Parts: sequence; C-alpha cells; structure tokens
Amino acid sequence: MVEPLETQPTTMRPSRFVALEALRVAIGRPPVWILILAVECLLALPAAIAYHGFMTSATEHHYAPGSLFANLSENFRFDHRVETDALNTTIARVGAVLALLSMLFGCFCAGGWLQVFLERTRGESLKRFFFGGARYFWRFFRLLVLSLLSLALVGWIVYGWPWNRVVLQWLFDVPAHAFASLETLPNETIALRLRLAQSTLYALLFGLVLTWGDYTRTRLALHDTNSALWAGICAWWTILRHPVKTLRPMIALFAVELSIVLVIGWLARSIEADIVRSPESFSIGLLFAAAQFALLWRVIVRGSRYHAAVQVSREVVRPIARPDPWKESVGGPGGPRYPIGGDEYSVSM
Amino acid sequence: MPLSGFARDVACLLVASAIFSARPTSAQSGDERSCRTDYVIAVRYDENARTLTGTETITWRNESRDDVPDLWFHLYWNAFANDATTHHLGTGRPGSDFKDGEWGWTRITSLVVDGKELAPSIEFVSPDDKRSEDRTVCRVKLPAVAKRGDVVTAKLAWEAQIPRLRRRTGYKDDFLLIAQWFPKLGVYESGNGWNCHQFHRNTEFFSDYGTYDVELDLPARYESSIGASGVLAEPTRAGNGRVKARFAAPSEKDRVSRDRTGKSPLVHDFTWVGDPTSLEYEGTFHYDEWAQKYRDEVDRVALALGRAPSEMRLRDVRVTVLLQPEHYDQGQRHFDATCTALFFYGLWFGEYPYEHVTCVDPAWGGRAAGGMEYPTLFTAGTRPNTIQAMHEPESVIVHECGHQFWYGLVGNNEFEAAWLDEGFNTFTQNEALWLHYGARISTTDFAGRPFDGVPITSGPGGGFVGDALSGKRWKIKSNLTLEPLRSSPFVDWWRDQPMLSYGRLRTDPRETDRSGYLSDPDTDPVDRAAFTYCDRNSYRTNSYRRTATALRSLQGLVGEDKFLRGMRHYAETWRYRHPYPQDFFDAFQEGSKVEIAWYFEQAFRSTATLDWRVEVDQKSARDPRGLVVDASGAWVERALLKKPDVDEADDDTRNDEKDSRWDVEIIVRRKGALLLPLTIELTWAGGEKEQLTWGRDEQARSTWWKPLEGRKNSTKKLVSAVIDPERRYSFDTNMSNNQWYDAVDSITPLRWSERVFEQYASLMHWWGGIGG
Repeated sequence: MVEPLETQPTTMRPSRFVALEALRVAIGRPPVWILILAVECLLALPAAIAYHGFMTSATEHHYAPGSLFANLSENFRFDHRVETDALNTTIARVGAVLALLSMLFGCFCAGGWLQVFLERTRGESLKRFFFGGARYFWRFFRLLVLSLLSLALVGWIVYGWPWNRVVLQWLFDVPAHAFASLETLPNETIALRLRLAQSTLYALLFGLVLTWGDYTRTRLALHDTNSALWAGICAWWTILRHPVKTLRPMIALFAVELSIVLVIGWLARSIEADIVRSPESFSIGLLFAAAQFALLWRVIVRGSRYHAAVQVSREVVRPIARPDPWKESVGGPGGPRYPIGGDEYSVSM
Repeated sequence: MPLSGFARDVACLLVASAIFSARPTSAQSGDERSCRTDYVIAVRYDENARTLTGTETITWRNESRDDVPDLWFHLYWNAFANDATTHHLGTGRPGSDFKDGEWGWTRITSLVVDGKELAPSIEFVSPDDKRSEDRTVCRVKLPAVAKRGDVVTAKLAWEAQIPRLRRRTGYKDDFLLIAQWFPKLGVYESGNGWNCHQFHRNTEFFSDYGTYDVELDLPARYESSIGASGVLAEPTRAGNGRVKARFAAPSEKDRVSRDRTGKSPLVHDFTWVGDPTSLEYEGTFHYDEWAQKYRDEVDRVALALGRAPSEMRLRDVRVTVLLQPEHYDQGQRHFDATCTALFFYGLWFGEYPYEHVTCVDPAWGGRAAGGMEYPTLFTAGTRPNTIQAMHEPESVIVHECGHQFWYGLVGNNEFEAAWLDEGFNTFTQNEALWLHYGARISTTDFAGRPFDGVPITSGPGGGFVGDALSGKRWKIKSNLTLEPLRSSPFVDWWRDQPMLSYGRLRTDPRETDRSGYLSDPDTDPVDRAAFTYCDRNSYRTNSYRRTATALRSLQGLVGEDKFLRGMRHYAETWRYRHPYPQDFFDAFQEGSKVEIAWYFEQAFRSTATLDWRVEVDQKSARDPRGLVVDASGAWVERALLKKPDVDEADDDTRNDEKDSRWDVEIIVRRKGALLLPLTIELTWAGGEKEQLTWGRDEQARSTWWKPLEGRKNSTKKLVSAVIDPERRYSFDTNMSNNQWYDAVDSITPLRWSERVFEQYASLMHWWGGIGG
C-alpha cells in the first residue's frame, strides 16, 4: 500500500530563501548523503584499485622509494606507456559501465530524495529513501532517456548544423572548411570569443536541461503520474511561465556549490603543490579528505535541489484534477463513509 | 610611347638593382666546397593580384676547383604551382588541399649574363625524382665557362604569385611571410657540381653565404610593420600610396666587422614579413645582465674552453618582436626567450654576430608560418592565456632563435643532413630551456585557459560500446550520430573537477628527446638525406630527437668539458661554411681530443639500439644442509641443525642480524647492437658504494654480465644496484629496468591511485547527476 505524499496544501508559499532552507533540510539527512557518497566512492574504487595495482608492480624494486612520489617523470611515463595505455583503455571501458550504473543510481537517488522530502513523517530517512528510489525508478529511467535526448539536441544546436550555418556562415562568413579552425576570421580574439560564447551557451543549456529534469521528476512524484514525456512538457511550461521562481533557487544552489568547491579546490591545490615541493605521505590523507569533503558537499547540494524543486513546485504547480470518489458520500465524523447511490450500499435519506 | 604601369615599375626596379649592383662585394674567401654569392633585389608587391614583381642581380664568385659551365636555380614557390609537385606528393602525410586562388609560382622573365639574354634557354630539371611536373629547379648554360676565381653577374627579372600560407611562406589576409621567394642560386661544390635539390616535403634549404641588399615596394599601410633579415639600410620612403624600404643583411656595419673567429658576418638567405596589424616590442640583449645571473655557467664554460670569463663576452643585440595585438602582453616573454637563446647558444658555441634579430608572431590563421628560421629573423607562434611554465611559446622561440646558430652561422646542407641543424638545435634548446625555465608543466585546456594538471587516467568511454554506455556518443546510423554528453569546456570542467582530482606532472625538457627518439628508434640511421627517410615520422625522429639523444649521450660519454670543447671547435671551424656529417665528426674529435669514431658510426650511421637491464637475486646465506665435512673431517648431517621448513622468505627477515651473510647475484643484460661502456653502482647496507664497469669489448663478447661473479657471499645486504647511475646515456629503450632497490615503495602507488580515485569519484557523481 503506497502512502499518500501530497498532504500539505499546495498553495503554501515557500520560504523566501528557498535555497538556504533546502540546504538546511538536506544537511539534516546524514544517513542519505552518507549512503550516496559511499556508493559513489564504491563506483570509483575499481579504477583506483586497478591503478594502484599497476603502480605497485611498476615501482616494486625498480625505483628508489619516494622518487616518483611528487612527480611521474617523463622517463617513467614513457617506459610504461604500453602498460598505461592498456590500463587506461581498460579503466575507460569499465568506467563506461560504471558511468551507466551511476546514471541509474542517480535515478534511484532522485526518487529517494523526493520521497524523503515529500513524506511528512520524521525519522527513518534511509527507509523512505530506498522506498522512494524503488518507487520512481522506472519513471525516472524513462526521464533519463528523455534528458539524454534533450542534451543531444542541445549539443546538435550549439555544435552542429544550426550553429555552423547561422552563426559561423551567416553572421561571420566562415566557409565550411574553416568551421573547426575558424582560421578565416580576421583575428584570434573573435575566434576566442565565438568559442567562449559557444561553450557558455552549451553550459547554460546543459544546466537548464538538468534543472528541467529536476522539476520534471518532482512533478512526477507530486502528481504520482507515469508519463515522463507529458510531465516533461508540463515542466517546460512551468519553467517558461515562472522562470524566476523556478530557476532562482537552482542558480543560488549552484552558486553555493561552486563557491565551496572553489574554496576546497584551492585548498587541495595548495596541498598538491606542497606534495611537489616536499613529498610527505601525510599530504595524501589531507588531499583525500579535502576532495571527499567537496564531494560530500556536492551530494548534499544535489539533494537540496530536490527540496527546492518540491518547495517551488508546490507553489507553482497546480494539483492534479482527479475525481473525488468520496464527494457523494455520507458518514459521521471519524467514522466510515458510504457513497451515495453506490451499487452495494443504499442509504435511506 | 608612354610606359605602362607595369613597365614603369620594372624599369624603376632595374635602375634600383643597377645602383645596388654597382657596390663592390666584400671579399671573404670561402672554401672549395662553396662559393660566395651576393644578391641585390628590388621587388614590388601588388596586393590585388597577390603578386611580386622583382629584379635581381646575383654576383657569384666561383671559388671551387672546377670550371663551371652553367648556373642552377631554386624556384621554391613552384612547389605550390600544382598538386603533382614533388613537395606535394612527397613522403609522409598527404599535403593539404589547395583551393582556387591559393596556388603559388615563380617565373623568370629575363636572365642576362654578360649582356646575353638566357631566359629562353632555361631548362627545368628534377635531379631527385625526374618528375616533370616539378619545376622547383632550373638551370641555364653560361655563355662562357666560369673558371676558378671568375665572378659571374646574372641579372634577372621575375614575377611570382604568392601562395596562401603554406610551408612557412605566403599570405593570410594582410599578413605576408615572404620566404624562399626569389630565384636563388644552388650551391656549387668542387667535384660534385651544383647541389640544387628539388623542394621536398621533408627538406628545408641550402644556399651560399653572401650579402643581401633588398628594396621592398609595398602598399603604404605596411610602412611601420615590415620585418626582414638584416636591418633597414635607410629610412623608409613613402609616396603615392606606397612605401619603399631598403634592407641590408648583414647590416653595413656588421659586414665590415670581425667576429671572435676573425670572420666577417655573412648570411645565406633573406626573408621579409609585412603585417599592418602587428605591434612592435623592442628590447636589447645585454650579455652582462645574463652573465651575472648565470655566473657559474659562464665560469664553467670558460674553464672548459680554457679561456678567461671576460673572453666569453657576447655582443649586445637589438631584439624586435612583431606581435599580434592579442599577444602583446607576451612581448616580454618573447624577448626573454630570444635572449635565452642568444645567451646560452652564444656562450656555448660562439656569439651571435649580427646587431639585430627579429621575432615574428604570425597572424591568426597563419599557423603555417609559425616556427621557422631565417637569417636574423625567425617566426614563433603563440596563443592567448599561456603561462610561462608551459614553455609555450618559449620552447619554439628558443628553438627557432637557436637556428641562428645551427643553420644560420653553421650552414649545413638541410637537404642532405638536416639533423646537423635540427638535431643540434633540439639538443641545445632543451639544455637552455632546462637551465632558464626548469621543468615544463603539463596542462589541460578549458575554454582556452590552461589548467596546471592532467587527469591521471582516462575517463569513461572509448570504443563504440564504451561511448554508448557512457552516453557520450550513440552511433545510430552511418550518417546519424547523437552525442548527448559531448565534450564542451565549461561542462568538462564541472564534470572533471580538476582542482580536486587532477595530478600535477612536470617534465624535464631534456627527457623529451629520448621519448621522441624512441617513438621510432630503428627505422633509419640518422645520417641520410632528409628526403630519403622512410616517412615523415622517421624524418622527424632522426633529424630532431634521435640526434639530440645521441649528442646527450656523447656528452655523457666524453664528459661535459670535452663535449663543449668539441662542439665549440666544430661551430667555430665551420662558421659561415657548409659542413657535412664527416666534418662534424672530425672537428669534434679534433676539438675534444677524443677518438670516438666508433661512437659516430654506431650512433649516427646505424640503427643500433640498446636496452640494459639489471636483475638482482638476494637472499640470506645459510649453512649448507645435508652431509658436510666438519672441522674434524667427519661427515655430519647438517639438516638436523636447522629447521627444514624455514624458507627463503623467512630467512630474509633476519637481515638485521649482525652475523648475517647474503647471497647476492646480479646479472646485467644487454639487448641491441649499440655498445657503450657501462657503469653499475652498488650501494650496500651502511651506505658503502661501489662502482663497476662493463667495457665495450666485454659487451661485444657477451650480452650479459655478472658483476659480482666470484664474490657471491657478502656480509652486507645490497640496498640498490643502479646501472648508468649518472644517467649519461639516454639511448636506453627502457630505463625502468635499469635499477634495483631492495626497499619497496608502498606510498607512491597510494599517492597516484588517490588521484585516480578522486577523478572517478567526481566523474561518478557527475554521471549520477545526469540520471537525477
């Protein structure tokens, strides 16, 4: 028996600081983000283990201890190029499978987060997470396929025929043979700016598609409907109707995520620079901790996006119109209710 | 009848060339290998038709032993006249496609010697491949045979179509790099005749030393943006929408000077560049500033050459950098890199004798103009947002400026022995880069901005299945491919999280010579004509990297001081001359006073390679088991004295015992035919070091060597065994097996696999985000 989700009135106005509220709530679910982090690390482990095995066999007795700690020299890289090429190919192929698993796990996590945020009960976050993950998995899988197709469309627009014909050929008079090199442009600055604009446009559209995916998933969960396509169309419509309301919290969350990542990244770079200057094994632990903290933060922000999407959707998404089976019914307060005019029950009025 | 515009131009040019040709040529004897050739050229550029119209007076002095019946000319631009030329169809990768309006050619319209018009009798020849479509070489019979000491004066008129930039010459919009642009005499060699090869894909150039007086007639907007070999001989003259600039190479002042070898500077080519959008960065190379900074190096070189440090002094040189506006902030870096070459090359191999050098940063879309050397002018090439530690553009600048020495001053035949300049220059470039700039960082570009770091392993994907599973590329049909998760700078940056997951890698530029050489170590010997290497890869490997590797190993073999003496002697002996490989071998041995002809044969004239490896088997020595004779002479069964189940691994744990003994066996193996004297350094517990040598003769007899044979049992444990501990030889095809250490490094694998772990954790998180 599936318990009802939508128990809060949809007209409730969300807090003004949707993003902060979302972060606060997501941070308050440690079992969930620890689990997600653990699974992501587990997926990363095969590559690390394979590389560790290679390095162990490559360095064992063959290099002075510590001589390759700070830097893998050109000679080392060249002498082991055959092994590293084979290793990299294997890791990449296995990585492709892991990437697929990650996407599927992402579908699962989205359902889990939404279940955690939509259900009003307190505690047992993990239980609800697993339940939500399983409940929405196939719907969100279909949405994953839709998202990938949307991204392919975005890529085609920004890097394919439309960009080449409209921007390069029509606006900048670049002949077809120079689409890749842009060498016929009068100077490098124009070429750089064009490429920058192209990259920026792609990144914005990429982010928009992911945000659309978040709202679509939230809509599917809120309405408990099955059609990812229809929910997706409706989500686009919602975003277009309420661009500020829907996008502002997501942009704010991205800004917060980016800021923290940059700060921790800067710290990690300092540690990495220290390793180059004075190799110490302690630094590896610090580097690991910094990177893991950043990853953890990103997992939390991912969850926050769903909480923000839920808050916004509750305000801007109209509840689904379903026939109320109990509209024509009678019964005392707190007691059983009986439909009027039903086949099995007849009540004398 | 009034003169037409074209005729008037030609007449003016003829008058100008006549004025120039009236100047006496400065006398400087060559050798019998080559002759002195002076050029006076006047040329007009028509920017609408993209043509050059020029006149030229060539004064050639026959300094050979032979009577010379004809003259041979290079017409390099005819390599771009059609797509069936030797250059276009040459070995290596297929040439880029020409488009209409991008062809280039040169046509001699008049050739007068001794008052006789010889143009109708010009005959095109293809000495290398007999290809009739190739018209890059022509010859003409002289009215009278030129005897030794005779001076032949040839007056030419010619016209040329400038090609779209390719192979370091041509135009791109307003940018002009005009190189190998005029009918140019080959090199007459006693006994061999004219050395005048066709223009091949893998070859560069070869011509006599002499002087060049060139007047350029260009549209007025080029007035302040002309760069050329030599210096401006007089201020530019503007009028009627045109500008005239007269250049002298070497400068008049340089021509009458003497450098430290006692010779007057000459050049063997002339190139010019015009670019109205470029900006100029000026500076002067002052030796004293650099000598102060690198005092130790100056002292070392002076000591090695047996000269006083004051004798090492180099002349000041004015440096002009013509930069694209978007690269102007890199002006100081261009200047600094140019000075790096002027200082280190000058210090090691003799000073740069000219007063001026020009560095050209080609225009956008003019990549084909980048990275090329001409006398007193070279082209580099950069991009916005580089950082110095990338050595970009520093490495190309040091290399191309370094050609002023290897090619400019020591003028080897680039057709037949390209390695004498490319390889020597690559070696010197990387030595100079290492001293001045240190290690090179490996970077990853995001939106044109370099990031100091690289992913340690490959990301998900690869192959049809890998790309499909990871969502990178779905190949639906042959003409329908979807790329949901395609690469794009900002998205890639967010996906990879380089700050958190990339590793920093540093590269000693000297080590890149070895890895470059080993990409194709044994297809061809180094010493062969550039156009006869198997393919372009072999040409590049042998001419550049393998030669540099061989020189670095030569340095290790004879020692730094002797190496320097040998190279310096060669550079000074063959300054303004045309050496061939044997000349280098002879001069080096003469200068270094080391007999190593065997090395030159093996390293430069064979495809021999080399791989040494060391194998160590070390275990705790134990008393023999079984029946042994004791002190009393009786047979005793020793097995009872020792637990029979103690294995060797357990024995190794006793290494700290004071009375322990060790069975150590070392085998050094050699693969490949290259024989070099080898040192192995053994380090024993307690820090005691021992060096043993495996000579060439012994190596010739056996492919393996047991350095500890006969003294197997040691009271000390072996800590390490390292062959070639000073890394003198970089020929070794696999250096990973050149050393053995008793201790096992467990922390290094952890350090690098941590980076891989973070890389994949970030990637998995990103891919997870696509799913939800």
